[in-house]
Formats: sequence, structure tokens, C-alpha cells
Amino acid sequence: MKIKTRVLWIEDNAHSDYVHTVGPVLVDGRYDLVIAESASEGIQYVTEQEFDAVIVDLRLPPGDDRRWITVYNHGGSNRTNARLGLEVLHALLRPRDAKVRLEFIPKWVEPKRFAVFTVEPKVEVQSIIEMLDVNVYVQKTAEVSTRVILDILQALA
Amino acid sequence: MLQPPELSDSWASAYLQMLVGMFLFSLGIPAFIQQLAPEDIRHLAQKQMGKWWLALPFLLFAANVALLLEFSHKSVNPEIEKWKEWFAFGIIVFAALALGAFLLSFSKRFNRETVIRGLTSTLHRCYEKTGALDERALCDLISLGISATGGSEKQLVLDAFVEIAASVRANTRYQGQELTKLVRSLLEILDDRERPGDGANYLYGADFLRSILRRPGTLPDWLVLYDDAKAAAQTLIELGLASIRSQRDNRIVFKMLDVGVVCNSAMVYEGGVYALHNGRLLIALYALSKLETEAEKEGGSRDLPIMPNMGGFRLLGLLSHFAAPGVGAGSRAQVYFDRIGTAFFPHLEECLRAARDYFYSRTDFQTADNIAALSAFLKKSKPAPEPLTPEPLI
Repeated sequence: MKIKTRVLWIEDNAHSDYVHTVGPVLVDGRYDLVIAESASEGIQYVTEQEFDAVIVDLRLPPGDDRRWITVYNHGGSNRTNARLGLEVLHALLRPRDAKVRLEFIPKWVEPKRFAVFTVEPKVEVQSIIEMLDVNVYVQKTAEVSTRVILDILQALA
Repeated sequence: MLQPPELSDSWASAYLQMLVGMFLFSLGIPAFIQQLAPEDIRHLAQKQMGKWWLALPFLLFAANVALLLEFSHKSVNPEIEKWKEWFAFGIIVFAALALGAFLLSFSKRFNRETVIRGLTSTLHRCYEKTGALDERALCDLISLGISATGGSEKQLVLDAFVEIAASVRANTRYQGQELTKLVRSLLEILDDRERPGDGANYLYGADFLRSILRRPGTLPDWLVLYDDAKAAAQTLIELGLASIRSQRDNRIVFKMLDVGVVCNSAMVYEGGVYALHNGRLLIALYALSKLETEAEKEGGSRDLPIMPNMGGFRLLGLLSHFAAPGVGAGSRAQVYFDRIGTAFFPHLEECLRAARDYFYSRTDFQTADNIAALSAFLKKSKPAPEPLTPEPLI
């Protein structure tokens, strides 16, 4: 019997709003939430553990893996331009087109477990996200609900 | 073609003056370098260097002057040959280069990294020779760690710890008790009131303890029988509590708890209780969430995964603190029991009783009482489900 849904949230700014975004998930009690703060850390979690849901921000720092640092630098050393989150999704869901080739992609990795939660307007990234078969997209705005992560998880379920 | 100056009286006395000047430099500049070095480093560097640095300039100076006078000075030896002029010139060049090298080497010795490297290699050597870490060098390293400022300075000492521990644990003579003092000192180093470690130091320290908790080589019952493992487990708990006290950044504490949950869930439990009673509610919730997951994992794919074992006890212990009167977090515990109350083996009531006994036997009376109160509350609110009959063993 599985009690908790395991969730990985790859987001470098989660801490700035922990009480509002993480708090409701912890209070809810149905989810085991793990937060990765960079592309490297996110990929490390994905390759080491199984998650039922993965929420990815598109603006990510590279972390300490050289490959991600290279992609980040080629993208202008800027989170907005580099959009490492998209590269993370590519590396996991469409490896043949990815700039970073992973040695190993776990079997559980499939588009239906992935969601995008980012400030990028949908029109800017829609075609890529559709190509990756990721169906859940939520834009971060000032009015976003404190239950947004729960809503995303509900949409993924 | 380059020629050495003719060794006239005036040149010879100029050479001599240069040597004297260099000699004075070789005494003055080191004194200045020492004054600039932080006190903890100065003291240890002086200890590591001994008195050689004072003797060396004297010896070099005396030798150079003697050579100059004996072989090269016209008033001593009027028939001076060309090669002797070269020789005198060479002495001056050599003295200048030796002074430069001496000052460079001297200043490097007052560098924190060099002092730590020196202590580390003393500890390595001593362990190789005697099978024990040199007590004085270890104390020096620990005191350097305590006096270092949080961040890169403390990191240097932590790196040395990791290096020493790795080599000791890889040694076939390792008995499982040589690192106890080193491990226990981690809390002093990171939780120093005046110079606490930063978040990265804490995480690195926790990772270090996790590496100690991994069984080395062939030692059986590592976590139960060996001092180093017991010290690492206890230090991890204390470090977790210290991080909740001192680190305002939730990220750091979350990551500390992540480390704790994979190697010592007691740290997560203690951290959760501490956080709950000290207003760090998000951390308490995070700890509870991790214990819930851990208890579920321990049950594997069983239909009733929450077992009356250590993981289950700690989970129920923390839940009882959430539900305790005055804490104001009872609804979170209620949410859990409403949804998962039937997932306990053989049933919730039995697990609560066993958990209460567990905490009572560990003299954690507060938690034992909280569990008793929780049990009574749950009994009132719902009839306990029928106990399951265990499957017969074949």
C-alpha cells in the first residue's frame, strides 16, 4: 500500500516563498516533497530516486555539473535566456535532441509525470512543451494561489 | 660581456652592507608576517616551524660573510683572481635569492591552509605508525576549526576531517573508535557561539557524518557496536537541532533533515519535536512528512505498511506532539489518522501502545504521555478496528 505521492520540485526560488507554496503541500500530508534547486541537483534526484510527479521551473541555475554549466554559459549565463528547465525536460523526455546527454534515464520517467511551473508565458514555450508531451503547464503570476502546487499535482494525478 | 664588479675595498664593503641589510630583512619581515597572521594560525605555525627559521638566517649570514672575507677580500687576500670576484658576486646573488625563497616559504607557513595540511599529514603519519591519531595534532586541528570563521575557513578544517576519516577507515587496522573525538568535535566547530558555521558548512558536516555512518569494510553491527558510529549518530542529531536553532534559511534545515532521514531518522524526529515547540512549524511539518514517508517505506509493499518498529514509533511520537494540547497543530495529526489510521499493523491501537512503551523506556516521558493522550482521544473519537490475525507461518 502506497500512502504518499513522491514529488520532486525543481525550482531555485522555492525558498523565497516557502510558507506560501511549500506549506500547503506539507499541511496536506499526501505528498512527500523533495526540492532541488538547480538543473544538476534535479537530474541527480531523478536518476537516484523514483518520483510520482516532477514539477520543473524553466529558469534554473546550472548547479555544479560541468555539462549544465556549459549549456548555461552558452545560453548567455542568464537564467531567463538559458532556460535550463527546458533542457532538463529535453534531457529526460527527448534525449536525442538534448544538449546534455545523460548516461542513464530511469524507466519511470515519462511525460505524464512532468509539469511545468514557470513565469514564462505559455505562448513562448508552448510548442516545445507540446513536443515533449508535457500537458500540465502553470504560469507563475503574482495572483497565483497558495495551493498552486497542490493544484498542479491534482492535474497530474 | 657581463663582468662582476672588481672586488675593490668599496665594493667589498658594499657587498658586506648588502648582506647585513638582507640579514636584517630576514629577521624583520618574518616578524611582520607573524604579526599579520591571525592569532590561532600564528601560534600553530610557530609550533610547526620550531626554531629553524630563526637559525637559518643567522647561519646563512655567517657563512656568506665568512666566505666573502676569507676568499674574496683584497685586504685579506691581495692576489685576488677573477673567479673569486665571480664567487663574491655569486654569494650576493645567492643570498638575495635565498632571502626571497626564505620569505616566500615563511609567509606560506602562516597560511591557514598550510597549517591545516601540516596537521593533517601529522595525523596521517601518526596513524600509519601507531594505529592512533596524534592527540595534540587533533586538538590543534579542532581548535583551528572552532576559531575559524564560518564559510571557507571552516570548510578547510572539514575537508581535512573528511580526508583523515577516509584514510583511517580505509586502513585495515581501523577498530571503529579512532575517529570518535574528531566526529564529536564537529558540533563544537559548527555550533560555536561566536563563530558559527554557515549553511554550507552544516550540510557538509551532515554529509560527513553520513559517510561515517556507512559501515566500513568488514566491521559487523557497525551502528550498534562501534563508538565512531554511535558518535556520528548522536552528533547528527545534535547538529540537526543546532541547525534549526541557528539557520534561519529553511532550505538548509530541509536539506539537513534529508540527510538525516536516509541515515538516522532519530535526527528527524528530534528535529521535528524541537522545531514544533520552537515555532519553526514549517520545519516540523517537513520532518513529519519525512517520517511518514520513511515509515511507509519500511513497510515495503505490505497492505498495512506502518509497523510497530523504530520508524513507526518515531512517526507516532512526532504526531503525538502535533496533537498535544496547546501546540495548535492537532488538525495535521487528525488529517493523518483520518486517512492512514487503518494502515497500521496489526492496528493503530497496538502501535500506539508499543510506541508509548518505547518512549517511556527511553525516559522520554513527555512523548509517552502525549501518545497516551492521543490514544485516549482517538479511542473516544472512533472505535478501534478489529486486530488482524497474522498469517500463519509456513
